[in-house]
Amino acid sequence: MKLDFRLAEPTTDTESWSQADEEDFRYRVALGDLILQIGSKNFGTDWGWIPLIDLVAGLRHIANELQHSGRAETFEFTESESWLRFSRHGDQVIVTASYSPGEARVEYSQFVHAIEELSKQLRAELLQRNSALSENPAFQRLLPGE
Amino acid sequence: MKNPGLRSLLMTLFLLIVSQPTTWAYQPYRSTGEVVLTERAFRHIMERHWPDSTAAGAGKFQYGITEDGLRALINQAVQNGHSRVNTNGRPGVIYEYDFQRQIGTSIYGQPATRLRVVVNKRNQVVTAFPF
Repeated sequence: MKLDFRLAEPTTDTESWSQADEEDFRYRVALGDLILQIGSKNFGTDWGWIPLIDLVAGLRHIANELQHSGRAETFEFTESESWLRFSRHGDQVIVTASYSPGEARVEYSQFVHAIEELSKQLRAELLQRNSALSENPAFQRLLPGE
Repeated sequence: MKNPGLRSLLMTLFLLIVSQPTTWAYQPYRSTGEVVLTERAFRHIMERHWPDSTAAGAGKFQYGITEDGLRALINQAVQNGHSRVNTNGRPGVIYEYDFQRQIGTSIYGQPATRLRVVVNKRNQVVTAFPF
């Protein structure tokens, strides 16, 4: 499973990030794309407008909700009717998307680990671009450190 | 109250207050008044969903849409559409309404008749797009 992000460049608004609130992080700043490859299935996007902090916060929420078998959660993208759906079946998570046919399966533990790594990488990348984000309470809440 | 003039004035004030649209009274599932489209939200929508926007993977409004036209669509969707709490821990409410006529194009280039509007807790539009 490859789970990663791609920041839309250039990120000209980084100075304003330190003053951003939750709504900004959920809809307006730190935009980019999702990279998600599971086996031969590609659920990545090439839209450039996905709020990455919201994406990671949403995936963390979903991973938490899928702790028990039989649960299903949907990630709705902010600017379209597109969605990603995650269904827990036993030890596996089945992934489907409205914008890509077919389904893919991944071990739940691997799914959780990939999201944790994604969260760390995004946090590090954004802090590198604006270290003042570490003082932003909304950023800390949505993308917490260790 | 012995002063009929004062009583009349107080009654008038009371009726004036209760007749105002309650845009300040946030309700999670049904807005009782018009929502606010801020300049920032309007720019946000234009950048992603205006007919000439180049944003990929996002529905577009029909050519000829205006700011006033957008406000009208949004208010109609909020007042008549289906509402639900925003998803994945995002704050606010989502309203969806099918206009039964084309209002734009979907991400697949097909005619879109529905509008999704996201409204925050301050009754302000966050985003809106056809699908």
